[in-house]
Formats: sequence, structure tokens, C-alpha cells
Amino acid sequence: MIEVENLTKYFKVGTQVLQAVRGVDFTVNKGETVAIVGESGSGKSTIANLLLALEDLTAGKIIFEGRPLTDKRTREEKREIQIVFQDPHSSFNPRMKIKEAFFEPLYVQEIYKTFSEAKPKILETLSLIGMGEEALERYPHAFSGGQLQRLAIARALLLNPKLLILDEPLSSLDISLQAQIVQLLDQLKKQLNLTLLFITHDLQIVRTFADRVVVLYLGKVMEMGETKTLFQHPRHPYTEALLSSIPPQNPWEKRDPIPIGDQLPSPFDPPSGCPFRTRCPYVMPVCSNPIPEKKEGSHSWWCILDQLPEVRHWLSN
Amino acid sequence: MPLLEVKDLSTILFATDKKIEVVDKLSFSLDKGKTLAIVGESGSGKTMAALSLLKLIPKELNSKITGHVFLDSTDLLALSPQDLRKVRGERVGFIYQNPKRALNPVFSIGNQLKEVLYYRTNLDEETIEKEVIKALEKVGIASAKEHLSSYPHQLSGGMIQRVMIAMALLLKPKLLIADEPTTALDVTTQASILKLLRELQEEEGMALLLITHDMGVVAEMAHDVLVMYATQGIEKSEVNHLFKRPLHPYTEALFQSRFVGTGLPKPIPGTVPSPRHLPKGCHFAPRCPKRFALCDQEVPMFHTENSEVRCWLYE
Repeated sequence: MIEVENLTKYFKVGTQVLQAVRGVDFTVNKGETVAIVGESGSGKSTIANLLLALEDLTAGKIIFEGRPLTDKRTREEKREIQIVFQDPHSSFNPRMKIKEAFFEPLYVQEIYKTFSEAKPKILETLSLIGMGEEALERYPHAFSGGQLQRLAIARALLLNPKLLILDEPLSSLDISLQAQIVQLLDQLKKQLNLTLLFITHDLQIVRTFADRVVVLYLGKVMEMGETKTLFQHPRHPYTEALLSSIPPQNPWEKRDPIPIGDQLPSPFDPPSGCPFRTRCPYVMPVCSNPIPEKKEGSHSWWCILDQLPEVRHWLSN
Repeated sequence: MPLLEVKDLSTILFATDKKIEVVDKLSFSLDKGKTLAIVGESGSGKTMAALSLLKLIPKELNSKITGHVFLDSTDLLALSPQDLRKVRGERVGFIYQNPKRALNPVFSIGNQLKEVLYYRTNLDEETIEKEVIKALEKVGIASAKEHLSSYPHQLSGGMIQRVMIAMALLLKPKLLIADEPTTALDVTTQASILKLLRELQEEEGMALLLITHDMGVVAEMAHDVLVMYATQGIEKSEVNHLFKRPLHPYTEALFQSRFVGTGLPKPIPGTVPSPRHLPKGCHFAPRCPKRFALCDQEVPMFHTENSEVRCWLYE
């Protein structure tokens, strides 16, 4: 459904250039849930902004259903990709009633001219998240974080997008609400045949929810593949380190996080070759040279090693 | 005798229209060198409880705190404001969820760390600087001396949390209260901060009161757990017992809503009630799959073999 090639975004900051996304390739197939995983500063939110044309591309191509998308999008193209942000409180205008917040995109897109025409569509969308007419006259502050996040999801669905991007949709929510939202997304995905691009730093959530995973580090893809393969048999030391830092499920299971420190190199001057080499426990001199892609079926990784030096068993099931 | 013993801690906020009880007769104890995790969803009262221990609730909330907080047999709630001020920092350290907001953006890190020793000890400036550098090195900050002149915005979230831990430990407190210390951090950073806390605890024999909603963090860190729901402690247990067999239906539901393995988690229906409108009797009853006739009566804590639980099923 969507294919990105050599996706690149540099920001000019004073006299310096911040290299946020550096030549990223990946595809998302119809009906799939793909997760983009990385630490803060890996460039994952910039990718979302590029897909939505909220930022201009520095280089690269975005191909959506066979057509290239440029930075100048037509109204129809804009409808096709929608997003849900991390903090639902800041994604609603506090002075707009839910009714207005829901009518606005339909009006701007010239789908409906008046609220009464739009109302059936709005109510239908609200029913997807288990809400009804009573929500319309209320302001965002009258809802809890979990309810607002459901509303943000519903609003993103109003324009019948084909691809829904979720940028850390759970990280501002409590654990029981996270479970509610994931269940809602799973149900909506089946009901509406949605394609989801899920941006997160939480690997445990990815494991329960995504079909495929793209691991991003300092603006480059380190490894990608099917969730199951990647969790059971990671090939890149960075993925291995991320997996090893998932907290244990039970107190009697002791984990042993691979120490990689917590300092990301500067995105103004990223390391040559493999960007992870400054934190990698297996670093070798050759890692500063360009790293070729390695492939095994649909599983790709960018590391000079074919196998990680030792197989660690940190996952109990 | 435990280092910290909390008995019937209650906190009431006097809002303009109403009296709101945010912590309801909480009791627990914590030994030297041990970690107690207080677990609950937002709105359960866990942060309010932690703040109440040291009377740190903001003035404008108009709070009244009752009960006893014994630290080494001194009742902190009975102390004068001056004496309590000495306890904060010197005997009890506090680290917050959002370290960026806890530091002053217009003063350098070194300045803010030195200030602590400047006001609390009689050390000369040279010794103070040495102590501060030592503290920063201890929490794993490389080139500590150069970082003295850094400002908070120049450091990453993980680094700032390390600075906060260094600050909290400067006066060698016996008890460290950490309110969601890793929630705002990346997984890799979380792993290294938790490891640091464990190492420091072992070295100093410090007791740790850890407030969190993350069962993974509890599994990794805690010796004992207190589960809170809607202002009350509802289950208290040793950590292995709790994970093997949670007793309270809420604790059970909380475990099922975790993301573990490959299956989707099972959400708890409904939401936590606001402390303004608490249900009569068991606060969890309206959401509880096991509720029965007795549940609209107020529930005491029942003692079972390995734990304490506030549920009529264990009468």
C-alpha cells in the first residue's frame, strides 16, 4: 500500500544540519500493522510527519498505492493518511466542543457543508468507539485521557483513511487504558480493514500487536522483519539490546540488560558506517565502513555480523 | 523495627465546594535496604500518599494530613515545619517523574547540586565541589567536572534523571522516595536507571519507596508490594506471592491488563472512580466480576497467610 524509498529529512539549525532521517526504505502492505521502533531521537516521529506532508522531503520518494506522493497533496491524498498523536489533551482544541472538532475536517474537506448533513456520519463514527450523541455537546476537558484518545482515533477515522498512523498512542495512558485502546484498535482494524503504522518505543506492546517491525536508530533502519522472527531471532546488536531491556514479566525471572549506556550520538554528526557502533558491545574496526544489507526471506538487517556472538534467551515464551 | 512505619495515613483536600479524601487510612512499613512498590492506576492516590509522608502537598490544595509516619521512631507528621524541613533531603530523598521540571532551567547543574550542600552542611566550597563531582560520578555521569557548568536543557532525559538521583543522594538519606522515576524514559535508559538505583541501594543500605504503575518495574525492583485503588491500599504482599497468586480481583485484573507474551491484554472494564464520587463499600465493586451482596459494605483489610487483602472474599 505504501512504499518509501530513500526517505531523507535534514533540518537546518543555525549553521548546522540535523540529520533526522537518513535514507529509510520500508513498505507497509494493505491490512498490515507495521511498528516503527526506536529510542527518542531515532527519527520515528519525523517519518510520520513526512508521510503526512507536514514536513517537506529532503530526498526520497513516497509511493502510495502505486502513485508517487509529493509534498503538495491534493485533498483526496490528504484524506488517505491520518494520524493519532501521543497526547490526546493537546490534540483537541480546548475551546471546541467535540461536535465542532468532528465537523471541522469534514467541512474543510468539503464533504459536508452543514453540521446537520454531517451528523449521521459523525454519529456512525462515534459508535465505533462506543460513544453516542451525548459526547457532541461536551468540551475536551470533560473527558478522561482514555476517552479523549478514543475520540482522537474516531476523529482520525472520519475521513475514511486507508492508512492510519499512530504516534505513541499509548504512552500517556495508564496500563489498563493501554489495554483498552489496543483492543479498540485491533477491533477497528478488523472491522474497517485498516492499515496501521504504529510508532512506539515500547517493544512489549509491539510484540502483542504488530505484524512486522522496523527498528530505527539515529535515522537509519537497523533491522526489519516479521515480529515473531525478530523477537525470537534478532540479528542486529541494537535490536538485541532493546529486547534485553524489556522488564521481566515476573520477579523470579532475572533479566540481564545489555549495557549500551543511554547517550545517543549527536544527530548533527552521526557516526560513519553503522551508527550504532559507538554503543555496540561487539564493535570492530570494519564497522565504520558502509554496512551492506543482509537478507533472509523478509528479514533484513544491517550489521557486519551474520549471527550475534551468543544466543541469549531472555524471552520465556 | 522497620525504618519507616506508616499508620492510618489519611489525606483530605478541602476544595471550595467539598471535602475530598484522596488517601484513606493507608498503613505500611519498610525495612532498611528493602524496596516497597506502591502500584496503582492514575487517580489511585499513590502520588498523594507519597507526598503526604513529608507534607509536600502544594499549599493551594488545602490539605489536612492525619495518622502517623514513623521514620526511625520519630513521627514526621508531628514535627514542626523547621524540623520536617531538615528531614526532607537529609533523611529522606525524593525523585520525581519529570526530572526536567524538577530542575531550575536558569541555573547550571553544578550550581543546583552545590546549593544543597551549601545550605545543609558546614563544608567549605572546595569540599562541596569535590563531593558534588563524586556524587555525579557515582550515578555514572562521565566527565562530571565538565558537566557542572551544563544547564538542564543541554542534557538528555536519562542524564537529568541521573543528576536528580545524585542530588537526592548528596546528603545520604536513609529513605529514597521515587515517584515513577523511569516512566518518561526510553526502555534502554529505564534499564540503566533501575540498575543504578539497585546498586546504590546495595551500597548505602538505603530503603526505597517506589511509586509506579508498571508491573515490569515492580517485578524487577520490589521486595514487597502495596496495591492501591481509589484512595485505599487493597492488597499488600511479598512480591513473589503477589505475582504467583494475586488475591484481590482488582490486582488480578491489573495483571491481566499487562502486555506480556504475544496475546492481546484484557482490559479492565470501566474507569477508576474519582475521589469526589467514591462508591459505597468496596471501591472496586462496580467494576468487579466477582461482586456479591456484601460488597456495598465497607471492607476492612483481612490477613491471609502471606498477605493482607481488602476484599470480602477473604473474610
